[in-house]
Amino acid sequence: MRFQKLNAGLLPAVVVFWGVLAGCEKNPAEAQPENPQELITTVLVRVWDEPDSVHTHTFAFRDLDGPGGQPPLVDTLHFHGHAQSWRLSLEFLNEAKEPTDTLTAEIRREAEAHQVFYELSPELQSSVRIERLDRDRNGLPLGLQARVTLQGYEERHGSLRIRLFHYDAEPKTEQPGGETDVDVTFPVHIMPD
Amino acid sequence: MGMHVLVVLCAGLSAAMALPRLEVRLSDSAGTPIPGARLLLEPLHQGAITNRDGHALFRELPVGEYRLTVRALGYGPAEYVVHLRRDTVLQLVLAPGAVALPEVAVEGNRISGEPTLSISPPLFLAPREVDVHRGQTLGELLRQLPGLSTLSTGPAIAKPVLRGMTGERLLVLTDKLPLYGQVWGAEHAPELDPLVVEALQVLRGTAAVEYGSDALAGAIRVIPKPLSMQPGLRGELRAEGISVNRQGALGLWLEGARGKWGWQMVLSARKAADVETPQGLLANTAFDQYSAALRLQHQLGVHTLLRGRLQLYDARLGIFAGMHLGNLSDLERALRAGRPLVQRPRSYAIEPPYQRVRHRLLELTAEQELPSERRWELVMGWQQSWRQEYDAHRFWNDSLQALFGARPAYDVTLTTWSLRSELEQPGLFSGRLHAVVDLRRQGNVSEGVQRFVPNFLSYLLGGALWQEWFWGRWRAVVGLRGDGIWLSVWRSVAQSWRKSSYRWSGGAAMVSLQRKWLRWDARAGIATGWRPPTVVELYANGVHHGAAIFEVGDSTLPPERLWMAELGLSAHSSRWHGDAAAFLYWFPRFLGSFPAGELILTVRGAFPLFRYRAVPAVLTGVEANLQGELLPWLRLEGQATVLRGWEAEDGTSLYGIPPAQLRLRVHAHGPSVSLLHLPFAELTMTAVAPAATAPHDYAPAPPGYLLWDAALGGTIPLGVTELMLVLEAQNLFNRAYHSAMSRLRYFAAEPGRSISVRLSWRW
Repeated sequence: MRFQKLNAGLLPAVVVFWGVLAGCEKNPAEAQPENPQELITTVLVRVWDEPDSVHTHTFAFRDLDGPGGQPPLVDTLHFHGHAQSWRLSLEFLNEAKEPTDTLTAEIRREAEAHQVFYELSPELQSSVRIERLDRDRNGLPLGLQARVTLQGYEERHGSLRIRLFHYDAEPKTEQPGGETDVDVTFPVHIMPD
Repeated sequence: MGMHVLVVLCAGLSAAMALPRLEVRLSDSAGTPIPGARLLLEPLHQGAITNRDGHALFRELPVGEYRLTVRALGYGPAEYVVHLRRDTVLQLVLAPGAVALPEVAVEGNRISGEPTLSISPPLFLAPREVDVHRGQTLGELLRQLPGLSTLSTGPAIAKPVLRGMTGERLLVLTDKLPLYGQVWGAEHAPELDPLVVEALQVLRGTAAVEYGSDALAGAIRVIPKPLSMQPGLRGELRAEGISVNRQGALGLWLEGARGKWGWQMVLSARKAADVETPQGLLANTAFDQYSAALRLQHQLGVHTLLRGRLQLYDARLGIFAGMHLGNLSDLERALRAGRPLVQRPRSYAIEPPYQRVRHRLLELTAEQELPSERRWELVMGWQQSWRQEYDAHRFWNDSLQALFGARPAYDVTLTTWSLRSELEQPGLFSGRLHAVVDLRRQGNVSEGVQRFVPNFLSYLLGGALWQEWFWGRWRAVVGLRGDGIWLSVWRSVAQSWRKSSYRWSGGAAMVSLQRKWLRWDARAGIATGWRPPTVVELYANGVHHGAAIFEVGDSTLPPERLWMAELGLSAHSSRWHGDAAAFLYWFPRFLGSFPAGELILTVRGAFPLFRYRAVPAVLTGVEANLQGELLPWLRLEGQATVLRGWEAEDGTSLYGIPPAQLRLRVHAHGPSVSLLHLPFAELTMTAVAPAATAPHDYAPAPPGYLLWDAALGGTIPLGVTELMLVLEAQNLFNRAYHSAMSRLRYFAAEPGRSISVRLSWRW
């Protein structure tokens, strides 16, 4: 008898409990729509010799499947010793999207919150100089455009680290700060003329 | 209105050779039980709350003289002197209109107690202690107990750590229902406001037989106020102010009953600004938190009780802006700076990065007394944990930012259905036998920009049996459990939807033996348990921004297996109580994230690679607890914990093991002075040893430190109501220190001096 009483009280409660709550759950077996991935897959470095702009080269750091998975493909930057002064321009792309998303214009528009830093490995520091050419409205460097000056004609190997910082929570200064959006290192080969 | 107390002495045979127990049965003059009354037994400083039958049990008390304080709503506080010789039932009949008896002499009676399945007795934080030390988080409250610490991420997020284990190894129960949330993350704390906590019980060692693989390290039970069937409206208002982050908190508890229905409602709200350290403010550590609970109880016939509970929790927790890292260079820059890189004036604003955490819980419970001293309980639960984590990072493109910028980086919803049936009946030969069946269904859906945890659905079926026996001075407990788990995982791989399935089964067992003498007892036990790998351990693949590491799961991980042994010794007198436990955990397979010794290259730089692996590991330590009455008004309490954990293969330290700690407290309490009842003052010293530096850590482990805390307070009766006042100062000397168990340790010092004021008005 006691069990009958219990069942009489419990059953309706259980049915309501089960019925109402089952509707509050999404099905894990169904894929949810993906939100856009804010991904930089590709850093393009375009260089051309400043005197005549005849020799234009494009080098890339490319990681199409994003962090993890396949390792990124990284080109070696080549500079011919025939020209002492080269111009360098950066482009940031998301090639995982169709069509490819170009992020460079956005960075230029938000120049007050971005800055690119170039860092040469010790082997190159005496023979290569990099100067950033573009600035934001406050007069601080932006760094999407730069000039590479070679000092000497001998062959050298080294690397160039390119970092893009995003100053969101803290004010932009001439120092690296905020959050690192891009941090890539290219091998560099300076070829004798 | 005063209080009239009738004492009924129940004399009987004393067959117990063990230390005596004291059972208090509280009722009003009409014989209605008074649940939820708070009892405090001095000088042992043991607390208890009466259950729904108005009963409370103090176990294993040394023979001697005690002072028992009874505080029941509507009756005002009262103190008794109890001469305890043997097992005793003390029946207190409360009625308005007369005076308390000053002294009670009692005789013995045999009491059957609930068997405890842990090798060492469970730790208990009594209501009075909870009232005095109730902090900002559940974890902070638990730090009062030996062997417990917290893994914190700023002031609002503190994960309880028991003997160096947390998350998927440590279960948190609210009342009788496990709290199911996203426990895998170091910055994911239990979804509970400490204002709704009445008392806490910690099952240490392992609770794998009682609760299965989620409780390999033990279980923390958050005990609510018991529901009453007494007519009338009762309530309590709790208010708190905390200076270190300009925090205000308010809690309201209301209770009433009519006929065969009883109800209880608890509301709480909390709002805090950025926290202050001796080295400055921590930007964006503001938070707010709201919770509500409604409980209903219905007496069905004489033997059946039905209960229902709806509980809601909603919090926005700011994450310290200075610890948001793009890559390893950001971390190195923050380490070099030596002070928080992001500064802002103190604010209540919560900006990205922050967490929005919502938890909804519904519980139905049926309890039934059956013939032949059997008891059956059914607990059904539904709960949904919805966690959204917002990144500080902006979209590159303004139009994308406008469209999707408000979307969280992580958006995970975990829904859990659970059903537990427990039958308790007279055991084989003697004692009580418990039989448990557990069923659980758990589904997870990920919707954020990043899918760190894939979608999954799991089913669990488990069964357990345990029994306690007594032979003279010996006590033995044996428990067995088996579980089967089915898991399906769905992931998005190369733009297709891929399903993986797993099936695991495993067993847990424990044996414990205890021998008692008049003033000593010794215990020894062994236990084994297991847990399946979590979905994160199987499928993690991404950058952990707070730690600047790249974590990769292993979809072929085997289940974790644990063997543990524990030895315990307790000594009692009527003025002193000491308790020590030494334990050894041997994991033939310990699942964890370990450095792989290589870097992974991404467009944001190189990150150290950590892989989830199963490695043999050892965890060992000692906990000791001593409390005694130096003078009738002065009590000394001491706690010490030493813990070491290492990988068995190469002997390297396990990450996240709390350093050794010693806590000493002097507590003075005086007689009631005019309006102020039970006044007290206490001074606490906490000494923490330097932590072991884990391999491949970015910075040496922080040095040791010494902290001082102080508290004073008392109770003011206001008619039949009472007002409790507590003033507490933490980090009294505003010491700048870094905690090895804080995820902010690379970037900032822990909070500085904090003055808290706590008021609770009961009527």
